[in-house]
Amino acid sequence: MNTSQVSIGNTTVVCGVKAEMCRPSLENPTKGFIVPNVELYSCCSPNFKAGPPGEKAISTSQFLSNLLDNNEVVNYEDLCIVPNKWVWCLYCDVVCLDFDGNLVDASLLSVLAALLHLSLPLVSMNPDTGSLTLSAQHIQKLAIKNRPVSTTFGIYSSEIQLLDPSASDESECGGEVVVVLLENGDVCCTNKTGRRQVSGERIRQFITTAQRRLPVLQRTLQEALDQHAMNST
Amino acid sequence: MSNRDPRRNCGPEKTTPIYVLKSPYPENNQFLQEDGKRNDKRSPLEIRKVYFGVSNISQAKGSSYVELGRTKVVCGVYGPKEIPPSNVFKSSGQVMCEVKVAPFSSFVRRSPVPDRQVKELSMQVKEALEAAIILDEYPKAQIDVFLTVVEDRGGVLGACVTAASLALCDADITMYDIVVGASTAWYNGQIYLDPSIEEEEYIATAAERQALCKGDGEVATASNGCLTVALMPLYANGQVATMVMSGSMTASQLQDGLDAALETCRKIYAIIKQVLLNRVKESDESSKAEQSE
Repeated sequence: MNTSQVSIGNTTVVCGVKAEMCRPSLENPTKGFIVPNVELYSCCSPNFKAGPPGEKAISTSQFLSNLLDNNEVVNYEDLCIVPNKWVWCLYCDVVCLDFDGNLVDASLLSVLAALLHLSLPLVSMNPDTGSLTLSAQHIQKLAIKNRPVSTTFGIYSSEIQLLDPSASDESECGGEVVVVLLENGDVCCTNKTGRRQVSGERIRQFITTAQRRLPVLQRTLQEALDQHAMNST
Repeated sequence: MSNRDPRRNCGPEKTTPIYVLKSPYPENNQFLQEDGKRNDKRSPLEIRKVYFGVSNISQAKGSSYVELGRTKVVCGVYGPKEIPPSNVFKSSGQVMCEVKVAPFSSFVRRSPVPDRQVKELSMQVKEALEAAIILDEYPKAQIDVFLTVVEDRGGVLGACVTAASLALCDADITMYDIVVGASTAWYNGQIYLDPSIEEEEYIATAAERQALCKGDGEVATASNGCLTVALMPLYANGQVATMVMSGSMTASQLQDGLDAALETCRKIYAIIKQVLLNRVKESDESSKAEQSE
């Protein structure tokens, strides 16, 4: 089990990764699963009502799921224990403790941080009996291929856009553009939602701004991982 | 027969936690180690380290963060807000309390859908708070208390009640007194304060284990149990808001354990008072600084 906590301004999210074992699907007998879920409880903001997940939680979960599915972050074959029989299923649950806007950036960073210091125990299967044994001594870190980092812009109007919007900004803005970049600055994914329009030129400017913000976030992430590694030795 | 929640990513239909292969508890799990200390190096009457913080949620009227050892609870209070006029008129206020447990909070991943245990926890916290809040001051109004259990390593009901009271104070809700929760356990007739989750689970299966050891139909007579109590220490010389107990023991053992738990409540109360005083001083200083600018 692994957790990470990310705060961007007041927005605070905690991500916990739980690894469980399951049968792989028939189409992909050597691929494991990563299941991200974002939980927005009524605790974190007055905007979220009690009950099943609302639009924001579902859309953020789906965004994370799409990003992780395209094989850019983790090689799903690494999650295979025994082909056709057992694979790992990583449940990444993101719980928001304080919602002050820009949930997407914080959630993605927290899932990434949790996966980066995840170690899976070695599980071996007896070929005759089919029973599994777990060796907690042999642990293997999960190989992360890329570290995608997102930057969110709120669209207030075609002239005014806000980088890293807070909750009050988001309530005024009519749309959002999310730009996801890989470590080398390549664009991994972009998403534009909402009713406001924005020009293509403006989106190019967003990508440039996101590329400038990228090293800051990566440095902070790496420092946190190094600190954790130092504390655990 | 799986309940596929259409609003969440469910993943594959059936997954097996790794604890099926290897228990999270050490092998040959004993309640006490050889030197008489508990498994986490505490003496029997020692409570875990506590931490209290307030005003941690920027969006809430009042909020708090409580750590009891590794058990972590966050609480947010919203309101009082007016109940829609369509509902039956009530001259006193109402409390709505909801506890949500994060899926990664325990050893085995919990489903995000609240189960009966979580609903019972919500009800127990609500009843403790209803005893403490002066509801007559809030006619036709509802106070919403939301709790998130980030990590559950034992004593979660006590931590939730304490967190809720702290958050209510932070939200300026009038109360008779702060409600503080604490838990005790008995094992083989001995009292142990503030049991961890491993100890709670050990005691829950203790009677069964002892009966197995004795064999040949003899009934196990050792006293094992757990108790959580929520106390308002200063109101009317100390009033118990909630008490939940399970297990079996003699009446005098129960009384001794209850006294020990109430004493723990009073100690935690002193710490909480200091935390709240510091918070008031802080906000006083920061508002003075703002005024002078």
